[in-house]
Amino acid sequence: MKSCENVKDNLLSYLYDLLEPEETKEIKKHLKKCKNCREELKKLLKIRIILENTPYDEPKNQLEYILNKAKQIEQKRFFTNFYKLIFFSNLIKILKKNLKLKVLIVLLICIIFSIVGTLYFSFIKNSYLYVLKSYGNVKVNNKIIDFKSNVKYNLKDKINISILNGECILQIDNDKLILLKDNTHIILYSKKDININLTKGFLIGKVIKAKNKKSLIISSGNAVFKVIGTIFFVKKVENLTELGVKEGTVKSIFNNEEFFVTKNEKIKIRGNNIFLTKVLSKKEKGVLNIIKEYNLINRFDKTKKVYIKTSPKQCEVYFRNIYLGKSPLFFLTDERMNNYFLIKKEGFVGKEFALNKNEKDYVIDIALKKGAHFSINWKLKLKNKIFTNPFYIDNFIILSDSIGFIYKIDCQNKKILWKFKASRRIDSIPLYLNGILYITSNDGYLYAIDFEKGKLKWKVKVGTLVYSSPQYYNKNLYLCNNTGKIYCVNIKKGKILWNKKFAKGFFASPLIYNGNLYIGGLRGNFYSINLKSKKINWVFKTRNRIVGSNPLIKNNLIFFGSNDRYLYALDLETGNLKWKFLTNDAIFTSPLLMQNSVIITTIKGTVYSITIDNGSLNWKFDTRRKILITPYIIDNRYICVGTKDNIYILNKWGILYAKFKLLFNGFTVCDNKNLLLCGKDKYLYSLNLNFITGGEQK
Amino acid sequence: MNKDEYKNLSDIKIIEKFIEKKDDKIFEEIYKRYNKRIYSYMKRFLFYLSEDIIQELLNDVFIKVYLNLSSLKNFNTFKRWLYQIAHNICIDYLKSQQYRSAEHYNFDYMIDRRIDIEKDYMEKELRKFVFQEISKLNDDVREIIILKFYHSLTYEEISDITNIPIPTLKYKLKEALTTLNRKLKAEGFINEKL
Repeated sequence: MKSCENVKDNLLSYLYDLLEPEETKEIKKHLKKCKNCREELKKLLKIRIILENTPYDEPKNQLEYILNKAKQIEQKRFFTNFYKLIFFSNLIKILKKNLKLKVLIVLLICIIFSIVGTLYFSFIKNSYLYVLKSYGNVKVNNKIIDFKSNVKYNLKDKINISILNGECILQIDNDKLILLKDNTHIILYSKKDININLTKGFLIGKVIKAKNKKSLIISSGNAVFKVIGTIFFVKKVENLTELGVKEGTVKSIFNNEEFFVTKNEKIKIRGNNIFLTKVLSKKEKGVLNIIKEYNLINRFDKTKKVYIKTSPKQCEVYFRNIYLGKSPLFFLTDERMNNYFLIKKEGFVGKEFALNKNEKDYVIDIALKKGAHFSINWKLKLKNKIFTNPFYIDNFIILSDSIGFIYKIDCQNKKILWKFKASRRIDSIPLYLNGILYITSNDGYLYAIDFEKGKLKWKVKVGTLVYSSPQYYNKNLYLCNNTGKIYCVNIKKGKILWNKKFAKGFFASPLIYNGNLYIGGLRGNFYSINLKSKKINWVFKTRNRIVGSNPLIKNNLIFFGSNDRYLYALDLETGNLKWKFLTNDAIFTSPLLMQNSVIITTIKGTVYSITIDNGSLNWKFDTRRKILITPYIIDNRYICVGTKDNIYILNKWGILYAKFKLLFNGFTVCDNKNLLLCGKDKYLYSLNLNFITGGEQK
Repeated sequence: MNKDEYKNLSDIKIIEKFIEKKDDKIFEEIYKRYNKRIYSYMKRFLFYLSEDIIQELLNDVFIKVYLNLSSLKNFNTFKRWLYQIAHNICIDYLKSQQYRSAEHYNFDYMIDRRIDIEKDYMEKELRKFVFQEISKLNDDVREIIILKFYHSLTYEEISDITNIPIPTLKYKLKEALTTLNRKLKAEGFINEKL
């Protein structure tokens, strides 16, 4: 028997027939005996009665509507069935009567299928490439093709096509036309979809039958794209690939992303970024619409619309990601580069270019990068090779060659005014004061030369090897030599006032500030020397020697680089370390100042920009070539870096926008316009850098 | 023939006659017999939809019945078949629409208007409370309760209509009922004397 509690638990399911038959019997037995349980059951019954006795709701009577609609649908069904019946039943009846017809029809169907099948399969198995027209040097599989040739190739094998000069029109299976132009190298693979691997050059193609979904697969560099469209072109210049499609779809095989292009849109792919742009029609003059930008690797996708009110005839868009504070900026310029627009990341609102100085730099940079070039102003032949940097003073150039001759050259007339013979070559920067030139030579002498006539005023022996250039302070000249001595020389008569040994050797130029002389020594110590008392104020120790890096002073801080790969910033008065910055290699060049940041280069070839306040990195640029000459800063905006055989021009954000391949030993920049180069062919060149300052272009 | 002639016939014979003649009057009889049931089933199952939509759904059900009645093989299962059509149409509608949760709706809507005539206040309140609790349940469980109690179908029929096997159906029903019972006890409806 079951207890009362057990029964009470199961009463509910008993009431609603949820129990198994054996259990229901037991509960029935229990209920006959137990009063409490019966009352409990009555209470529960109440809910059941309420639930079951609820009347139904009444809907609106819409019988007519239902009947009408049902009959309409029935009629439609009837007609479709009727047509089916007529056609099929007649055929079946006829076939049943005539056996001959039956056989004939079966035979006909078989023949049609076989013909269609053979045709279909033959087309798929063998796809052919036709060379319709060609002129110039066109090579297919290393064989030169004649003019106006019509050659057929089976696409079973790889086909290499390279065009050095001229054009070539290809056709694949009567469907696709491809136009190849100068300097293209492509490889075709045969599959159902035809693969084109473009290694270099420019390619225009046309796919006529887009419905068949036979597509061209174009791969160039990282990006592989499947193009199902009508007209497309591919351009490859170095690492950048551009793919333009009019009408159709582009599918990137990298991650199966598809982009649809309609009639008025254009797709452009640069590197891993995809841009969908709207083509300008005549009515929409001056309205430019960037619809979508998509990054394939970072998957950073933004749909945005930009409207700009101008009326340029042709609006060309230069897209460029500049990562400044992690926000990409885009710039638009028109063809003549008169109007500039800046589109910021937030909101993507088109804004007429406000001509802030900072922002103007961006635009000019980007606009000119494409057409950066230089022109040679003049050149002058010299007798001997030149290994040093030229020195520029007011339209005159001071040069010293490998033997020890010092020249003065007039920039306007391109003539040598005078030459002066020192016994050995000169490596230091000369000092020009009141019409007199002070030069230290490797023979250990300090020369004072009259600037106009080139005659010697006086000379003084200051050691055996002097790399440092003289510094003027308080009517005296100060310089240091390789033995670690500091000399003080009278400027008028050239007499040595005093000399004192401070370190093992000095291979850099000193700097004098507020009566103190600052210099780094061969053992890695950096000195601050009081010139009146001739005593050391403080010494700072680095881990390796300091060679070639002249100090720089700004904001009560002194900057210098050492061979232990660090750039140091010390307090001027106490010599305490403010900060230090670790670079990737030894520093041989001196630091430069540019708008609240220090520019430093290392031997490995990287250019660093470091903020003065924190010592944190702004940007860095890797040239991957040795840098031994300190760079020049042009107009406080550009950095001119010379490596062994290249000249790089960076802007203040560390973005390269011009690079020239030149063979030279030394260079300077004069008047922010011209680049003076000492070429390896004994020539002195003057190059025009007008494009930097925004002058007229040729 | 008079209208009254059809009234006394059973379901099976009416359907047979309809398939023979395709008379509108016979269909009217079928419509009148099942019209209210299906409407109230749909209205309680999808109580959060507006009346107009349910009316449209009801029309769809009877259009389907008119067109497909001839394909019904066993006339004994006509009632089940009708509910199946209604169920399928409801589910299709829910799939097409992203229906919202039941929280935002007034439950007064659920109460039949004729209840107001009844004098017993307690019963009225109890009814209202039960409707509220039912409407808070999930769609599938609510449908089972509605079919079982309002329309007094058997478990086999319900499992045919909703495509849920009988044991799971029973389990779901039991769980729902126990929770309902517990809530009724907590509100004090059950301890009242009859």
